Parts: sequence; C-alpha cells; structure tokens
Amino acid sequence: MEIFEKNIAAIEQRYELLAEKIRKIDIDMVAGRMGIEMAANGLQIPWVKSGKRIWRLNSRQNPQEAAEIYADRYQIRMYGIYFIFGFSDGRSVREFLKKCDDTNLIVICEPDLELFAMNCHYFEISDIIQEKNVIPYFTELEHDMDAFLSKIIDYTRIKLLEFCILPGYDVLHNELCENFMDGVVDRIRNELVNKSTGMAFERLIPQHTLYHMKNMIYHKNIEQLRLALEKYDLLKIPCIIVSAGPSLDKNVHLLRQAQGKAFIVVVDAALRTVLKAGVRPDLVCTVDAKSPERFFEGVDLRDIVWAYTRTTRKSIAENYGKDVFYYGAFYHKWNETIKEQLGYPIPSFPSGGSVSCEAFVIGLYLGFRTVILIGQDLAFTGGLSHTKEVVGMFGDNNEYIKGQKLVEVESIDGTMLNTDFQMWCYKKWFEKVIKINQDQIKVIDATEGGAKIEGTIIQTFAETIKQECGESLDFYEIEKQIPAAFSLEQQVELLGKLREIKDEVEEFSKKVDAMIEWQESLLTRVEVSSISKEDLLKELKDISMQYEKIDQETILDFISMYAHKEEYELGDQIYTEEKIEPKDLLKKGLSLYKGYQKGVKMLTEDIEEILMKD
Amino acid sequence: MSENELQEKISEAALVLYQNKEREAMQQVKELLLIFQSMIQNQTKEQMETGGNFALLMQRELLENYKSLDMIGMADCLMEKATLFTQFYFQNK
Repeated sequence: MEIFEKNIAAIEQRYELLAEKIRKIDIDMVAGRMGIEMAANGLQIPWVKSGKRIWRLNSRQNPQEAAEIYADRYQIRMYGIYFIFGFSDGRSVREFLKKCDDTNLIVICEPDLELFAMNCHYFEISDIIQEKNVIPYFTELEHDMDAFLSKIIDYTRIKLLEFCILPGYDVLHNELCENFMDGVVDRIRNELVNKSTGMAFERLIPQHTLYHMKNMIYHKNIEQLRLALEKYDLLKIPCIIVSAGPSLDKNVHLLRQAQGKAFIVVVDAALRTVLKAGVRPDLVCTVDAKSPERFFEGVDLRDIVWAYTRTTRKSIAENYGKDVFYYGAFYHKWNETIKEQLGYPIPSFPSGGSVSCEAFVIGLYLGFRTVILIGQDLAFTGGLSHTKEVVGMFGDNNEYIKGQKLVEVESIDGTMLNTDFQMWCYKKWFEKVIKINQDQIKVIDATEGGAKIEGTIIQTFAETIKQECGESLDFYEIEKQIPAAFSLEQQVELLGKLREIKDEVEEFSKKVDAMIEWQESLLTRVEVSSISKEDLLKELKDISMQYEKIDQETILDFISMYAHKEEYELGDQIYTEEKIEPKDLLKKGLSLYKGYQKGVKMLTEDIEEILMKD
Repeated sequence: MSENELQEKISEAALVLYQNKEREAMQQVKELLLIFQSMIQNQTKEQMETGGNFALLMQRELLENYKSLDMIGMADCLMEKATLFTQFYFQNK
C-alpha cells in the first residue's frame, strides 16, 4: 500500500471527516506554497513559503536527530496532558510519543490542514494516528475550540498540562498559536470557576437541573423561538441586551422608544430597573442558582417571558415561570431523549460565565446580527457596582467593591477604571466572541460608561435607537403564539421516561457499593500484610480498570455534582504527588467512592422529591 | 576562545534551537554572531582569500535566520556552515 493510502486508512478509522477533507486536497494545487526537499542525510523534509521566505519544518542536516533533540526537552509526567502545536513531518511527535505512556494524553494542533495533507503523501504517520492517546486538532475542522477542549481538560489534571511548540510554528502561525494557548488557558479558568461554583452551590445545581428536566416537558424551547423568528428579516432589527451595570440608570428611560422595534433581552438583575421604566422585555434571562428573590419582588411579573436553563433558581420558576423558553445541556441522556421526541436538539451555548453572556449568545442564536449592549459596564463606573435597583441587595457599594479582587481596565473614554476579576473574564469573553463573529455581526456598546469592550462600536443609546430601530415587529405576540414543545401525550410519555432515572441510579448504586466493598477488603489485606506485592499490583490494576468502566457511566455526571468535594480533593492530590503508596492510593479511591455513595443517596432523595411527586 | 570551546558553544546553541527554547537560543546566537563577526574581521589575508566569501555567506545566513526567528534555519546554519568555518579558521590561524 502506498504511504498516502496507508495514512488515510489510519485516519479514516478514527476521524472520518478529517480523512474526507484530506482526500479532497489536491496537493498539486498547493505546490507553490509548500513542498518537500531532501536533507543532507537523504531524508525528506517539508517546507512552507511565507512571504518571500522558505521555512523548513525540520532540519536540513539531520531531521531524525533534530526530532530526537526536540523531544529530549520534555520531562514527561504520568497523567500529563501535552498540547503540541505543529506536526511537521511527524518525526518530533513520534519521538515525543516514545517518552509517553498510556496515562498521557497528547493533543496535536496542526494549524495548516493543507500542509498536513501534503505530508500524508510523503511521510508514514499512520503509527502516530493509531496511538489511542493522540488526539489531532485542526482549527479548520473544529470551529468550537472551547467545546473541543472541554472534553480534554478537567479540573483534576489542570496542574499536569503543558504546551510544546514545534520550531517555526509559533512564528509562522503566531495568531493561531496564541489563540490555541488562550483557549487552553480559558478552559483552565473555567474549570477553576466551575470548581468554585460547584463547591458554593453544592446540592442546588443538581436539584435545579432535576426540576428543570421535568419542567421543560411542559414548556417551550429556544429553538422554537428561533424557528418562529426565521420568517422575519432580522437583519433590519437589532437585539438589545440589557444588563445591570450602574450606567443603566443613565439611559434606561430611552428603552421604551425601542419597544417593538428591537428584541429586548433583559438579565434578571436589570429586570426591576427595566420594568420600573415602563418597558416589557421580550425575554428575561436568569441563570444563577442563587439569584436573589429581591430581584423579582415588588414588580408585576405576570407577563414575563423567560429563558431558563438547568441552573436557573428553582423557586423563580415555581413562583413566576408561566411562559418559559428552555435551552442548555441538562443531562446528556435527557437531552438525547428530548431530541428524539422533538426531532432537533435543545440548543446549548458555550457559556461565558455570566447571565449577560448567555443573553448575548441567545440573541445571536435567534438570528440577530446587530446587538446593542446597555448596562454592560463590566466595571465599577463611578465607584458603583450595579444599577440602583440592585445596589441595596449587595450592601454598601464600597464594601462590596472592596471585597473584590480589583483589576484596572480602559474605560470607553480612555481613562482607567476598576473592575473585578470576574467582570474582567466576562469582558475577555465578549471580546473573543465578537472577534470570532466579526464578519457577521455588529455589536454596539451603548452603555455610555464602563469598560471598553474591544470590537464594539461605542455610541450613545439615543443615537443607536435612531440609527438601528427603524422597523417594527411584535416579538411578544410572536412568542405568545408559540405552543408548548410537546403534546399532552408526549408530556405523559416523557415524564415516564424521566422517572426511569431512578432505576438507573439504583443500578449505579450497586456498582458503587461493590467497589467500596472490594477496596475495603483489599485495604484490610494490605494493612495485615496478607497479600503479596505482585497480587496487590494486579488487583490495583483490576480496580483501576473498573474505575475506568464506571467513569463511562452517564449517570456519573449527575452523581459527581453531589460529590464535588471528593472529586476535587482527588484532583488536588492524586495526580500531582510524586510518590504515592498503594495503601494511600486505595484510601483516596475509597474516599471518592464514598463520596459517590453519598451522592447516590442525595440524588435518590432529590429524585423522589422533585421527579416522583405529581 | 579555543576551537573546542567554540565548537561546544555552537553545539549548545544548536541544541536549544532545535528544542525551540527561543529566549535562550536567541541569546546564544546573538553571542555567536558577535564572535563570528570578530573572527571574520581578524582573518589573515590568506584566510580571506581562501575562505572569505564562505565566512560572509555563513554570517549573512545566520543573521537572516536570526532576524526571522527561524530556529531550525539558525541551528542548521550553525551545524553546517559555522562548524566548517570554525574548523577552517583555527586550522589556518
């Protein structure tokens, strides 16, 4: 078999889409931009042209030796995850892999798909592709880098991540290289935030998730709204995202002028300010599992149309949620069941961490291409944290602001402003999303205060309304006309299916109990020294294999939410300790499984309370 | 600096270049460029006549790769031309 056919067969086995793309690339067409030359020792090496310059992607002297030297740079750690930017002829990667074992994961990002395709014709790389712990990443194939990275990076291994860049790639593909590294750093930050969120909310998130899985059976979803709006020309109508920054008080009075001429999405913290200004929002987003009840008190919420997701505070839905559009990832199996019934998936969006970020992506998802931001200060404008309707809820402003870790950012007028780390992250997220979509969307920051968000057009709200809000459309009426997503029959069927989760938990519980019993028995034998070293290692290996099997159980996603403490503790210690004795390893595994056992008990209670009662 | 010391310095620089340790490598190449510059200026008339162009070619190639941040280009130049130039320079000194 020829080199290319052998390579492509290996790629096809694991990455069909990649193989298909490579087959379509005619390497004669790229001949001027890249090619192959002979090194001094007779081996072939690839080159690419950038500007007037030729870049050899391996040594012209001795490519094999250069690859070995490159790989020698790295001290491979057990369980380490390595992000290699660049593939070239595969020699450096192959040498790198020789140093790894099956506890490692190697993600290879090749920024130039055409180059990879050409190399598939000249270099035997099927051995690399077939390695189970190698994952290729091509920016041209995976548009959602965060979704890709979220499958790879989890909290337990963030201390074991390392970047490796092949020579030349950081210069030739500087921006892509930085984006790739930023993507990984963002993911690490998200994992840390998720840890804090998980620890802070403890049982609330799984409880709310269960509640919404049931509640969504009787409501609508964001995809229905998108389909309903598809009939209209949204290029001429903007979406206004109303956030709760202090500058909202400056221009909220103008919002009435935009009613019916823009799709107004309001975040929960800004709701009181908006309603008091006499505006009826088209959609209200509430995401926080602990959204203060006072956001919703003292105002008439009878006509509100909501967007809920799995974390949305349960009591808000119970008290005010008459008309709801759902979105988000709840529990994989449940999302799949819903998809089967609907014939399409419930939309889910990458989260920027704040309710405003979610409102923004919902606006884009619905089809709006002009987005206007108001109240989006992302900083402490005038030394204030929020619109005045919210301020009292977080106590005295000075006290609130002093409690935050402050960062300085440029304001819309070029002066410097204080913000906190969280808002700084949100600002970065907005800038990233705007940049990704820069050719398709126009984002106007009409906040009239706060931090400068790169990529936005800064102008006053009055000017923006005059310029953008020329067409009328009764969004509220369109929303009201949308029926519940499921018929009565489907609702009954879905509730039955949802309740099957109880059996799934019972099954899982048996496996957890068996694992605890097994590990306790082995621990006793280790303590009384009644097991030989060989038998101990063999049994530990069997336990580890069973861990991996249990790790694949989808219900574990749910149980984990109740056992965050144990999982994070394991992540903080187990992979990073240099030497860990089998006895300690067993104890830590036991602790994790006891966490799961506790999780099973709590989940069973919550299923009874939330899902089984009519 | 003796021939052995210089050859060792060249090998060390090539190693960090192939390893893409950019900051360290650039510093070492900068030092080598100055050393080669001084060697070229100190060549005897005889050396200039027999290997003058080669030395200038090597220095120009290394400098061009240095300016473009081409690690492999610099490493290859060091391993091939700079090594030969060093041998030639010390043999004919």
